[in-house]
Amino acid sequence: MFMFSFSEEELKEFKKLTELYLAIKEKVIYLEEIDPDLKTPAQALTEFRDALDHIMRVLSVKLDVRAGIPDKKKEEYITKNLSKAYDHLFRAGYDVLDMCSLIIRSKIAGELEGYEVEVINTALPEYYPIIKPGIEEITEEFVKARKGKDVGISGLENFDLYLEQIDKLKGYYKKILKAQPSLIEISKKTKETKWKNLIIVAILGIIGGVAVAYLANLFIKS
Amino acid sequence: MPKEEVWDRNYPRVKIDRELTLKYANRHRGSIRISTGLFYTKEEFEKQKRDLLRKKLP
Repeated sequence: MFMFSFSEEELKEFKKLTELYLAIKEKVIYLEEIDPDLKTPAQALTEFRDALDHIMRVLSVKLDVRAGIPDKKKEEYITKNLSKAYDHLFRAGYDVLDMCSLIIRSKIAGELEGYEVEVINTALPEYYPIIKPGIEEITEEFVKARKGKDVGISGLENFDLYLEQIDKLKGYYKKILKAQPSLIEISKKTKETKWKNLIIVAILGIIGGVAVAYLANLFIKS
Repeated sequence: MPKEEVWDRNYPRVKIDRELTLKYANRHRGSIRISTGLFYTKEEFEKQKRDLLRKKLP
């Protein structure tokens, strides 16, 4: 029976690659769900195809399906192709995470649209000191990440951080959704108070005007 | 082309074209989203990102 095995290092890298693929696949599905038009990022699918090609090249050597690679070059060939597979997955991953972050950001902006600063500040006191700077920071980090996608295996740690950032953004979005009843209530009260104040000012203005007119009339008569 | 050379050949870069994709959609089985036009081309993807980024937070 033919048996093949991975070295400890290869096994470690394959496991990480598989976990990375799963994380990105989950985000592709998530993106399709949250996209306003339910669109899929077709570019990510072509990156998956290219990653698969490099994985198959690795398997072709491991399974002795292909000839032509001397034994001493095999390890180098496997490492190179695993690294290329990582690069393609990262490219797909960063694009998808980037778009996820922008869609969540846009949903947050949409939820808060039309509310005055004081209303947001009262209903969601952590929005201006924590949430908004947090969102802007994440957006900037994704812009930077987009510029350096080909990082091979070494970029995995960084990528995990970006995955965490998406969860953080999702957390912010949930907080804002939860604050909606308060936002509506406070906004309503603020509007009512403003109208009341406006009516009081108008009444006081009219009374003042009448008083001034009366006094002026008295003054003229005297 | 010898088999050994095929292994290390990269796939040609795919340029996903909306009109072509929709034109040939009924000839292929595959993603429903893609065959019904629910996808971003590379250019559309970048444009969508720029548009979303323009939306300001309060």
